Amino acid sequence: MSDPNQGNQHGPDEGLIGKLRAPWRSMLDESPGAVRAFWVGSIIVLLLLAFADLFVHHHAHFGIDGTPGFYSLYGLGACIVMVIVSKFVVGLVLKRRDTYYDD
Amino acid sequence: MIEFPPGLILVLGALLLPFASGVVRSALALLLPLATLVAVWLVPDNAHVTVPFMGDMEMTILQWNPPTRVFATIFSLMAFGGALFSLNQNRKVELPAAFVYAGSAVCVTFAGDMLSLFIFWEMMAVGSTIVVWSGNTEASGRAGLRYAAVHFVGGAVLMAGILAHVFALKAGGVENPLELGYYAFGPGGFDALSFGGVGDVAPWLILIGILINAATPPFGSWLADAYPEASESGTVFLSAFTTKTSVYVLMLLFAGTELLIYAGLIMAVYGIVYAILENDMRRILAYSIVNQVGFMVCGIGIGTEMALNGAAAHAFAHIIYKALLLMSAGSVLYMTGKRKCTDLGGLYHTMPITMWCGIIGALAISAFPWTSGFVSKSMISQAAADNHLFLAWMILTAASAGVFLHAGIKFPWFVFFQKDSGLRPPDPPWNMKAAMIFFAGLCILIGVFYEPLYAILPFPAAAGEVLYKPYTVSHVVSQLQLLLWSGLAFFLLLPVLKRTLTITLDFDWLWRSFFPWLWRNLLRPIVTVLGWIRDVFFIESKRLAAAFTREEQPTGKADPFREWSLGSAMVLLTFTLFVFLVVGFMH
Repeated sequence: MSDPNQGNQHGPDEGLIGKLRAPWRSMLDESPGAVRAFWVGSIIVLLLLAFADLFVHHHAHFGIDGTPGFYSLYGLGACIVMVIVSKFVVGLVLKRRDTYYDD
Repeated sequence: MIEFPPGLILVLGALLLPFASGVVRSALALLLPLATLVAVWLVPDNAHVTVPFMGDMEMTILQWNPPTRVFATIFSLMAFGGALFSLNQNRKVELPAAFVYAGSAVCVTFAGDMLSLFIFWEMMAVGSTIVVWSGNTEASGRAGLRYAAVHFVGGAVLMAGILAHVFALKAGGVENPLELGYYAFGPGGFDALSFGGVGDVAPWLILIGILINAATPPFGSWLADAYPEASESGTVFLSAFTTKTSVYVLMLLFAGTELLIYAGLIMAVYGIVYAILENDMRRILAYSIVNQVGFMVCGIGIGTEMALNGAAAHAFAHIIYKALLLMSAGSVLYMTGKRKCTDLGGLYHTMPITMWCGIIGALAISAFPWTSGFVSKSMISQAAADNHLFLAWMILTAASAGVFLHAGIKFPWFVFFQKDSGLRPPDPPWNMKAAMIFFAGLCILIGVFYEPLYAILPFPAAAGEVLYKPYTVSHVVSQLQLLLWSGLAFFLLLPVLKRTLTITLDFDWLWRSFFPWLWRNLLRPIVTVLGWIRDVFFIESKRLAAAFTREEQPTGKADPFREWSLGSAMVLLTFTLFVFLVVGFMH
């Protein structure tokens, strides 16, 4: 689990942590506490939800959807695949400057 | 009792709007949709109103079809919300055009035969084109023209399909070939993958005509092209009617057509991929319309009662939260004049109401528990699971996660959070806030008290039975897992998702870029060369012959090759006909 709050508050956008922190910079500068609380709270909720499957019985239709943690991992995995396909397959071929049709 | 199509209240009332001003205009703008809503509910159950058409024929303009109530209700409600949101606009034409558009959509849902359905369908195209043009920019002018072209081509395809079917029915001795029942192709009459004989062409043409309006790829690029170019209030209206009317008509005519499962799945994924790449905030939401309509189209393809109920309920919920999201985006555009994510950010400082309403819309579109999306979309997934459609279920579930990614977080995050753009606009005027709060309230209200919505679905539960139970521990936990973990994916991938000043080419590239290029660089030179050849062989050679046999050329007589001077167009036409002929023989 990568927490973008770890590491130097005003460090450069280097390394994995730095890259993850970069989009949060302006909000971190304004209220670091709120951002930290958001991340800590989110991670706790995510873990609780994933482990809730040990106690919640899912009525499986296909088998795989009854596996504990299936929805968590599937949601995470599907989104990563979709973003990567969008950015590095579709985007690579079809992306143009937004003045493309004006020229 | 109401004995006329309730949508006509909006259509005819729209004609009064330009003559009113001030309080009267505001009152009319709010009361006409409400009157329509009341009228929809006062239409008696056995209503059947016909008007004479072309002498001996009759056209049914008012009757209940199974999905009529849910669609007519939400269309009227949407007209009210949209009118409230646009109350402070001074554009003279936009609201009347939007009312013609909305009223025609209501009329489509009450149409009892294909002809009246088609007439109102085309009126929608006219009204919505004017709404696009009311954006009043050069870009909206051009986009509106492309929008109109696509929709009139779509209308022509639909009409051709209807006519082909009418002739086939007439040949079979059918008395009233326009009756809707003859067009309910469904799973039985429509073998999606067969294409033998001329009779089969009708369902295909009708299906394509409808799918063009449903924004199904490859016919769907008009949506993301035109909608974001309309005004901030125009886009709110546009988001609601065209695609959902198509959903309604698909539900009537093509319920259970397997092809639609795949069409819907493609739409759901396509919308996500393009929305992920998009920078214009309203275009992100436009692509997510395609994604959401994909869920409905897939449900119609599955075709069970559960699936059709789910598709209808989802259309109802979707119209509200999509309008809410576009109101939120429209408010930002109205207050800042900016529409690109790269120019926005940090608006949470001064636009709390717009932000919270946007977030509620985002949660609803993501189908969070206790929002409207949860109680509607889950029925479609459930139907896929019940029918053991493993692939469809996996893609729908992935797409549900993707919705949270591309619309649920991406839109609020880049507009209201992320970097501080330095913009400090206040919340928009009261009417815009009121419209947003009203729709945000509905998103939650429907999510908690879903029974009234379930009661008006096409296939309501039998007395004493429960239609569907959305809130089980298992369902809530699995949905929260799916959504929140895809949220984690968003934040982990945020460096990759950095906004760029780009667009992504869509199928409209064909007619915006490729065809003009083809004409400039290939067809025009060919036509020019053909023109020269014609000159040399038919005119110069004739003149040459005349020079040798001068006395045989009687003066004053019409030049026998005169008709060729009609020009290059003629050559092109001949060439095209020749190609058709060759293709025809090869078939």
